[in-house]
Order: sequence, then C-alpha cells, then structure tokens
Amino acid sequence: MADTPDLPAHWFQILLALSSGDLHGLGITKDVHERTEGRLHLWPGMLYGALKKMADLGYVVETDAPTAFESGGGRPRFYHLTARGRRVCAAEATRLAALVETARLRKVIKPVRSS
Amino acid sequence: MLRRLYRAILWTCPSDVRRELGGEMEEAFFVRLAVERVRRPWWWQPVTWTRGFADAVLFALAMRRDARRRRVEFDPMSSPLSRARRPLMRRQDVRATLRLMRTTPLFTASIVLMLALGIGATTAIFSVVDGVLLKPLPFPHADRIVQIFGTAVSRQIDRHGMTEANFWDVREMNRSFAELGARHGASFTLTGSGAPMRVDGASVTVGFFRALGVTPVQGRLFAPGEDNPGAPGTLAMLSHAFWTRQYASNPDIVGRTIQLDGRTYDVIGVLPPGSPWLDSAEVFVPLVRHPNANRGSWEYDVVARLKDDVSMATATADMDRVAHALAAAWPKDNEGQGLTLAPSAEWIGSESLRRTLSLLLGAVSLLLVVACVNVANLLLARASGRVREAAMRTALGATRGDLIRERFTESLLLAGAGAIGGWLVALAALSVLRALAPGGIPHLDNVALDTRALVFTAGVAVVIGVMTGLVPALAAPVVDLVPALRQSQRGSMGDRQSDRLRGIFVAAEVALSLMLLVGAGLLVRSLVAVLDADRGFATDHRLVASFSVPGSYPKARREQITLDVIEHIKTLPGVVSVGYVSGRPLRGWGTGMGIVAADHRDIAERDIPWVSWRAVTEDYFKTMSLAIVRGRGFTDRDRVDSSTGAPTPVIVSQRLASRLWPDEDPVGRQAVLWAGQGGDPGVILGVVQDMREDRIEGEPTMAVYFPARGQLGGTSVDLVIHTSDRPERIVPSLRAALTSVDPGLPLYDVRTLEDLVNRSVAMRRFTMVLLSVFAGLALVLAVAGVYGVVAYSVVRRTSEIGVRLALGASPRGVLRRVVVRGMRPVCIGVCLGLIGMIGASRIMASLLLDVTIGDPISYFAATVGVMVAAALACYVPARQVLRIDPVVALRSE
Repeated sequence: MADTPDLPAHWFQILLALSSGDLHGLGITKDVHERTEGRLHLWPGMLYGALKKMADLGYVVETDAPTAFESGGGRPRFYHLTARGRRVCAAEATRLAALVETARLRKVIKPVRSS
Repeated sequence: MLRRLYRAILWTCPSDVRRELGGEMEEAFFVRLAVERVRRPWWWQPVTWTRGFADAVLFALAMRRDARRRRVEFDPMSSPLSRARRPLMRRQDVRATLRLMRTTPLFTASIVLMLALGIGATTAIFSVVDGVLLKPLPFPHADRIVQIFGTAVSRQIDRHGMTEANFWDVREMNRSFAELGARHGASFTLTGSGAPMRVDGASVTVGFFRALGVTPVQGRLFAPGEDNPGAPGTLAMLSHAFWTRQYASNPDIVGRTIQLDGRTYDVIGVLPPGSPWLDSAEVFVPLVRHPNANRGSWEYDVVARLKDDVSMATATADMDRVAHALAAAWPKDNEGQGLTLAPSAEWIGSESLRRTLSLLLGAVSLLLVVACVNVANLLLARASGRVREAAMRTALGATRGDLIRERFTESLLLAGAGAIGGWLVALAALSVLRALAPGGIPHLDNVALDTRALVFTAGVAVVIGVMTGLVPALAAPVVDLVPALRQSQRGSMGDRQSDRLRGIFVAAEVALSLMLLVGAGLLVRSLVAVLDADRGFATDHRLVASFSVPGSYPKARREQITLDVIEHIKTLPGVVSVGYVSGRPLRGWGTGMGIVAADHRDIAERDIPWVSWRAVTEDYFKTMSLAIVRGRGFTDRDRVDSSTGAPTPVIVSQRLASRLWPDEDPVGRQAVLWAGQGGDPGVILGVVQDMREDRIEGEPTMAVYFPARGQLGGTSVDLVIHTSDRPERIVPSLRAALTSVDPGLPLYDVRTLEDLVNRSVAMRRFTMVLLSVFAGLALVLAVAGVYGVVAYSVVRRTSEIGVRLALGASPRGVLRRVVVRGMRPVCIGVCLGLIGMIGASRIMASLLLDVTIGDPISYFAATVGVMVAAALACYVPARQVLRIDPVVALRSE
C-alpha cells in the first residue's frame, strides 16, 4: 500500500494530526487549524467524510475515549492511527520531502542551514 | 434556524451515519461558524453558511453513494440494471444541468436573480403577514375572550367605550361571563428615583387580567376584593417593558414601593410581555369602585371571558337583556344605548392594517408571478434552441420521459438557487422593512424568518420549479424527428406553438405589471392629495409638547401651575405665542359630543351632528394660524362656569356653523351642548376657520371649542408653541421654564407639528413606497421579457429577413414589422391589465381617497409608461434588423 496515489491534502493533515495521539473530530480540526496557522479549517463534512473513507481503507480505527477526557456532553468518537495509516502518512511525507529536496537543489528555496 | 436547516440536510444521510456522526457534525459546524464570525466581516456570514451547507450536502451525497455501493456488493442479486425504480432526479441530469449553468453563467444568473427578487420579496411580506396577523394572541383560550362595547343605535355609533357605572352593573347582572374587567387610561408622575418622570398608567378592575387569563412573570395579579368600594387601591403592577427598562428586570421589585403622583404604591407583580392590553400602559393600578360612578362618559374598555357552556350568541342575547334593564333603570343615560360583543380575534391588527398587508401580499405575489413568467419564457426560449439536441438524443434512444425529467431537473435546480438567493433577499428586505415601517404595525420587531417562512419559501420554490419546468418540458420534446434533425428549428410545429406561448407570456407580464403600476400610481396620488389638502393650520415653526402636573396637588394649585407655565413660556426668547389645547392635534381620535341649535332642539336624534370638542386658551387659534372668520375669539375673561347657569361661551368651526345655521349668522345664537347626553346651554361667540383636528385625512373636523380657563387643573397639559427659530431649539429653555415653576413637572412627547403630520401619513407612505418598488421591479421584468422575445425572434428569423431584404423589402419596413409584431402582445396585455385593474381598484378602495379611485391620471400615466418602455424594448433589439446583410444571412441558411 505504500505506493498509493497521492493523498488529498486534507487527508494528510488529518493523519498528521492523529500521528501524535488519538483525537476526536473537533480535536483534529483544532490541531489542523493551529498547525496551518488558520489556513486550513476543515468543514465537518470534509472531515467526517474523510475519516469514514479512511476507516474503510483501514488507515484509522475508531477507539474509546481516553479516560482523562472530559466530555462537554455527548460522547465524541475518537480516532486512532493504524500502522497502515502511519505508513501511508509516512509515504506521503517522504514524497513531499522528495519534492522539497528537488526544489532546494534547483534553488527554488533556500537550502537548510546546517548546524 | 441555522441549526434546523443543518439538521435537515444531515437528515438526507443514511440513517446509520446520521446517528453515528450527526451530533458531532452539528457541533463542529457551529464551532466553524464561530471561528468564521471572528475572521470575517458580518456580511460575509451568508457565504459561510452556504459553504457549510454545501459541505454537508456533499458529505450526505458521498455517504449515500457509499451505502449504495455497499448494498450492491453485499447483494449479488441487485445490479444497476435490475433496478426498476427510477429516481425522480438523476445524478447525470443534475450534472448536465450544472454544466449547462456553468457554460451559460449570464443566463443562469439572470434567472436566479429574478427568482431571488420575487421569492425574497414574497417571503419577506409573507413573514410580516404571518408574524403580525397570523400569530395567536398571548392569552390562553383566546377564542373565549370577548370585548364588550356600548352602542348608540340612534346616533349610528356602533361601538364606543362603556361607562363606569354600566360596567359595574353588567358585572353584576350578566349570566354569561366567568370573568370580566374594565380598563381606563391614566397618566402618572413617577418620583423617588431621579428626575420626575411621566409614565403611562391604567386603572384596571380585578377581573381584567383574570378575564384575559394572564399569568404574571413576577408576584401576583390583583386579587378579588381589591377593587371593592373603600379599598385603598395603592397597589401597582408593572408592564414587562417598563420593568425591564426602569428596573433592569430586577425580581426584587415585587414587595417594594413606588411613588406615583406623590402617593405610595406597593408593587405586587409584573405582567408578561405581549400585545394588546399588556403593553397598553407602563403601570397598572386597581380601578376601585365608586359608590356613585359616572354614567355619562364612555371611556372604559371592557373585556370578558365566556363561561365554558356559553356561546357567543347566548352571550349577545344576555347583553341585550342587560342593556334593556339598564335603559329601563336609567333612561336619561341609557335610552337608545345597547351593548355589543366583539371576538378577541379583532385585536390582531386593525381592519386597515389587515387590508394594507393583504394588498401588499397580493401585490408581491403578482410580482412573483411576473418573475416566474419571465423565467418560464427564458427557459422556453432555450428549450426551443435545443430542439435539435433533443431530436438527436431521441434518435439515440432517450425517451420522452428522459427529456422531460431533464427539463424539470433544470427548472427545479434554478428554483432552488432562486430560493436560497430569495432567503438572503428576504433577510435584507426585512431589516429594511423594520427600519422603514411606521409605528402602526404591532410586533413588527418580533417578525423573523422562522420555520414557517422557510417552509413557505421551499413550497414556493417547488411550485415555481414545477410550473416553470412544465412549459418547456411539454413544449420541447420533438414530435417529428426527421425534419427537426435535418433542418434548423424554423417552421417546426413546436415552434409555432411556443411563439404563441411567448406572446401569452408577454401579455400576462405586461398586464400584471400595468396593474401594479396603476395601483402604485393611485396610492401616490392619494398621498399627494392628503398632503396637499388644506389642513387649515400652519405646521412650520410649531412645536407640540406636553407636561404633567402631579395628581397629588389640589386642583387649584394644578391650574395655577399650568397658567404660570404658559405665562413663563410666552416670555421665552424665540417664542411667538403659545396655546393650550385639551388634546393635541392629529392624535387620530378626539373627544366628541352632540350639538344642536337651541331653536332646532326637536330634531331627530340621529340627525344630531357628532362633533369634536377641545378646550383651548385664547392664544390657541393665533398659535395654529387659524383665522376667526366671524364674531370674536376667546379672551382671558371667557370661562366655563356651570355654577351660575349662564350659557357656556363656545367657538365653532365653519363647517359646523353652516350645518347648524345654514345661511344665517351664528354669532350670538344659543346652542344645546352635549345634546342627547344631558344637554347644557351654550352661546356662540365666534366662528373659526376649519381645520383637520383629529387626522389629516377626510373632511375637516366639525369642532366646538371651549374656553380652557377655569378648567386647566388636569394632570397632563398639551401645548402648541409657535417659535421664530427652529422649534427644536427651544426645548432646553422649555424644560428650564417648567423646572423654574415647579421641579416636579416632567416634559414629554415633544414633537414638531411637521413631524405629527408626517407620522399621521406614515402608514400610507409606507404602503405607497412598497407598492411602487414592487411595480417598478415588475415593470423592469416585463420590459426584460419583451426585449428577450423580440431579440430572440430577430435572431431566429435572420435568414427569413435576409430573404425579404434580398427581394427588395426596405429595411425600415422590416424594422417596423418586427416592432409591430413585438408590440401586439403588449397591447393585448395593456387591455387586460386595465380591465383587471378596474376590478382590483375596488379591493383597494379602502386605502384610497374617494377622489383617486378612478383617477384617470394614474391609469393614463401607467399605460403610457408601459407602452413606451415596451416600445423601446422592442425597438432596441429590432434595430439589429438594419445590420443584417442579406448575403451573409442567406449563406447561413
């Protein structure tokens, strides 16, 4: 599965959000929103549509809420990144990294300062 | 509202998905909205909503697709081919339509815009009608509540207030009512918290709020016995608005005391919000029964709740019995008087408001029809242009049903887009309406686009979608394949049919917009007639102001205060003169009485003129610029003095003078004042020029003026002040003048006389403006329709015209033919519109003045306007004919 076609950008963002721990829908939205500095704010339909599909593909699974989670009423679903999901995410990251590397070599952007 | 709409969209998801994710999605949606609200300007909000809804729709579609795919996978027997049931709208049709919309953005945008305007205006007016006329009264079982009026059959007054004594008698003698109560307006000066303030008050009997079934939001209602003779009556209930405004909704107010006119009242409760009655005053106090209550003055509003087993008819019969008993017991006051009941449903909007709103709803529906006809026309034109495509597809195996369904998909999608646009238009229109509307429309502030409005809009959209789809759907399918495929569309059967349809459409549009234009014209002319009518009085540099004098002062002191204030104001710089009047001008109602000439006192009771009376000081006529045409005006020595039995000196208006003493000099004549209500002697001092005292419409008021001196001891005083400078400028010195006489005199209701005039025609102006806007929009749409049809026919007949030109027809002649052909349906429409309007003006009659019902100028101007606009709309596209080059035109054949 490593050579899947390119992931939609928002799928990648969702997988990235889940890579540091299980989150519920609003948590994912918030994480993505913060990381992208407000440039990407997921609409609920996009978010849950993507989660549903990724669950079908086995990238994520639904999981119980962590015990520490304080619910504000209702029991939101939490999502967990599967090993397969992590691989897909890594593959996409690698692909993007390769693109960035190319851009660097062709002096489109500045090289990384070696420290 | 948004939440409901969002839920409705989610409702289209498969049920398992909805149950699983619905709540979370809803929450996420509102979080997103909150984020957007901060990030974007407020007017961006509708865009945000639309995007959110679109997102949810896409989600729902994706989920349904997945569910279907899963079903197909799991069920080996099912395959797309075996599915017999066809959906109403197929995705491929939707896709095709969307593609078509994208490729013809101008066409799509103009259709959506027309529909949005039509639907938006209709939705806005509908929600006003719904909120104002269809909302129930704020009382439980309101259908059991009635209002009791007195009637004076002999004087043709079918409804007046009851007298205090009659109310108490009815309360004892009736057999029909579970509760009944009376209300009487009052005015108090509230002291004890900052500057003295005038508050609107009312005294009500214990049964009043009980009959209405009111539950107080704080504290309690007046309890039985609290209006018995001898009860202290120092209890107060606050209206909800007053409680909120004055006491910041503090629940601790119950149990506290307030100072009204220097007396201490215990606040026992707060009324719920609502209208009518509940908001008719700010403070309510008990109406305590007097041992010998007044029998002559009709001033009490009486409401009652029917007993459970009593019908309206039974109660009416019961009231007749009571009225007869009263007439027998007190013939002097009750002879010829009856009692009548009115259902509480009449409280919802006055008759004239009802008529006005119905007229507006009717007018806006006509506008909507014009918009739809235009849309149908455009769709028809496009369908005719696609005959070849349709024929091709039929040849490839598409059924007639397929084609019809595609047309319907198109028109429904357009109507849906129009409805969404219309919703935004309605939101904007409502806020404009609220800003423009005069005070006469109750609960307009509470009118909102609610679920009912949404259902209404959706319903209208579906109807429009079906109706506008029907026309091209039925007109378009090709009957005869071969010629349609071989040839261009010219000459095919379907096309001649659609030509006729187009003509009918144009005629209908023209007829409807002409009707709207004539209606608007009639209202404009009525308003102009009202404003141009000779009011009698001058309005410039005139200020009307009132102040109240504490009721706790003795009467003589109140009178002295009033006189001092008037004297003081006279000396203020910038004041030319000041007059007292017992009721401010243009209040819409006045104090009335009967009057007869003393030498004709035997005339039949129904011929006694019912006139308005006012008590005025000697400077009132000068201040209002009313000329004394005969005799003399009042001096400071004239006064009403009932102790000596001397006749009261009065001044009458010209109209009344010529009614009482036709062709004779009225000055010095004796008259019977309060004729039929007791009868006091009066003597005519002079005749004053006519004026419209109560309202600016209608005939000048027949009026009797009393000298005010000797009876200036009232608790509220109305003054008219003539100023040399802008009238508003003197308000501060006016206030200072009051304070210098007595610190406890609140000034209120300060307005210029101009302002009062404008207010009294505000409702008329509002109706006129709205109808003009609708008429203008309809005219634009109709002109666009005419233009479109002519332009289309020129394009379509290019080759035919080319042949004519090649054969020697003059271009001018061809141009004339095209214009004449285009104008034919316009002329038919004008005739139909005029006929229709003659019928409809009868419906409008109540909103028009007599002089304007058949006003030829309105009819003429509207007809000429429509004809000229339509002629231009024909001529401009028809000019294309002159540019047709026969060689090019024939080559295209």
